[in-house]
Amino acid sequence: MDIPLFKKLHAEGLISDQALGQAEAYEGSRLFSLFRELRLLLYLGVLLLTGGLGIVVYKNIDTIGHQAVLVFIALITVGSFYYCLREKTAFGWDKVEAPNSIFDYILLLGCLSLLIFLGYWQYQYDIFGNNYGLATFIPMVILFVAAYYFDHLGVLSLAVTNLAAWAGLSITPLTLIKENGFTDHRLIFTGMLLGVVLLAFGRLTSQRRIKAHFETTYTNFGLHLFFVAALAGLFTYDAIYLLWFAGLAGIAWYLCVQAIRRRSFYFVLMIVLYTYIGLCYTVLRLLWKGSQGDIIALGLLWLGFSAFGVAALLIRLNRKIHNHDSL
Amino acid sequence: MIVYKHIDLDNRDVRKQAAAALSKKIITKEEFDRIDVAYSCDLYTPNFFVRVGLFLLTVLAALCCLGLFVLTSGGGDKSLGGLFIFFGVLAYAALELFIYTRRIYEAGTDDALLLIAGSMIITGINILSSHIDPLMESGMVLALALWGFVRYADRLMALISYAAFLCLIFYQLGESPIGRALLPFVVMVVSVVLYLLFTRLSALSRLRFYRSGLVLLRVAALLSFYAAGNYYVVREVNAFISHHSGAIALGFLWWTLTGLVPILYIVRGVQKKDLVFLWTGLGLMAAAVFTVRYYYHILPAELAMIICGSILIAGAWFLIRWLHEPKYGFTSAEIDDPDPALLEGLPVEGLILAESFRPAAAPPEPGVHYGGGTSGGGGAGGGY
Repeated sequence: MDIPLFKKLHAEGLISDQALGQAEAYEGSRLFSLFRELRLLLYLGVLLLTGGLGIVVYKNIDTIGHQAVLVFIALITVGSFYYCLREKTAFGWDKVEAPNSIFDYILLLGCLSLLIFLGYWQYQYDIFGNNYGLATFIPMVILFVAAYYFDHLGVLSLAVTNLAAWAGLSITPLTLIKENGFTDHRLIFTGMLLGVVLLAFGRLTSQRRIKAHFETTYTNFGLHLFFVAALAGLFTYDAIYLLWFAGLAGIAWYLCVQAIRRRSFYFVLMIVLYTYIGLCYTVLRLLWKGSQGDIIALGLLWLGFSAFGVAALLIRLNRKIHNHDSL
Repeated sequence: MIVYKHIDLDNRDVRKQAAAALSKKIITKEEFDRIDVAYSCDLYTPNFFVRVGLFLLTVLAALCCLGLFVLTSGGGDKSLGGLFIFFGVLAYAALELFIYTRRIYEAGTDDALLLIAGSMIITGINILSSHIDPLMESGMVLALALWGFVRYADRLMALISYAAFLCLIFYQLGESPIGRALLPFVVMVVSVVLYLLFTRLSALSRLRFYRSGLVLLRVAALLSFYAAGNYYVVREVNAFISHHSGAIALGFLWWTLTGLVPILYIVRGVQKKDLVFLWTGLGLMAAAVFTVRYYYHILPAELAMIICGSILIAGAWFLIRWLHEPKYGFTSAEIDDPDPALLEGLPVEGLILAESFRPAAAPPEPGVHYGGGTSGGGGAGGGY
């Protein structure tokens, strides 16, 4: 709080004596909070520890005879879950605040070390047999249960990526496009289907108020997965690309209306940009087919003008969401 | 100098403060509305995501424009270079026009146009002249970026001009053997002087519109001070300019600086309750660890990770518990809400997590023998 500014506002009669007093009291009693710094360190610690353990197991997977590392990992898992079960606040279908600021990280530690443990177990003893589906299915179920039971968004993200892995897809931000090789017909349809399922589930989550704050996570994964798969389909299925684009645009329209309704700038931007990529592809293909002449110039003209158009659209949508704000 | 009207920027700041006070319930909604009317501001600053979108679209539109220009101009290096410069000037003109007519401020379009204008002019000059030495190049970048910072208060331009200034020193001193030997010390002295200068400048009310840029410049000065004394940086830069690598003189000094400076930053950050020092120190701590590990493999990486991780968890846990009740003006409790408008509760942490611990995707054919790494960093490949 800028106290001279508040004094000036007070002198102008814009704020009351009480407000000025509160501002001064706030500034006077202000503490230096290390909240974010400490949480960042804790988070880094959990990532480093579990990452290190994962590598130890991975490297020595054939030679761990004495099982010491395994016992260590099991101890961490059991200890973490024991702590979480003891400390947790009562379960509820709404957002449940963590009992303290360490809780979330201990739960994370427990879940990650459990994953490492299960991974090693599967390798060594084939507990799930040759059934890959089961080997990803069990961790996924555990993660989902933990995410809902303890109300943890990070664990939920892990669970969703495991769900995708179970369906044969890799959907973390950096691997979504790189590792999937979306020319495979099966992957395109799996991706679109899973995307739609996640989006629908997100909507259900918020409508039925089953942990409504989980919706963003579902929608985020679902949206990206759906659009990347659908665009891959657009590029792959040459024969019906116009039809494909029409379908894509229709769904994009629906999603955009939803996103505006829930006033999410981020989702609106993503939907607009993905749809714009599809639109540009379709228009450029049409140009390519239709004109014999200067295709490059025409393409550049189209891209330049359409970019302006989309920019104007974004500004309008932004204003629209803002107007909703004041309603 | 600055392109925006002072009153607009001042009012914008008042409104921001009022909004913050409203969210902390220091002022009432009625008071906020009164301030809102009294301090109007018609600068257009959209939401952060819209800003990103506008940035990308502006870059696309400008590049297409440039493409059309090139198509119509025909060939020839001379005309091409002139075209780039002309285009850069045009981008500046468009920027001024947009600011005057559409009142954009930190709107994405202005960021993009400023960046495009500068880079086009530099590219054009490079095409036109057959040979430009790095010294000249740094000077040009410095001049253009400084102009961008002074006129548009653009933070990216502030950082670019700082980097260009460092390059200027680097190329100037790199020419002579004495200069090469003195380079780290000169950079350190310059960093200290500039840090003090930036701190002084940001206290001036006349320069209040540049404050956020000056904070970044302070961070940059702290970083360059550390880099000038970091063993890895000194060794690599030395190898780069003298063309032979190997151990360097005064190794003890550089190692001391590598380890000590981050700690001093953190200590000072805690002492002065200065976030700039604290965060820079925390970040550089990681840099120091990586530097040591690069040359001395004291422990295998995974063991180092486990030990560091355990220490971090234990230390952070202890501090959180200890500062639960505020001590010496510190607390581990949350007092300032994280900026809710920016991330809108996006699960950023969750995404980083999912990225670090990505499961291996199932093989397409069921029944293929599977054996390895469902989880765990580095185990993502999974042999099957």
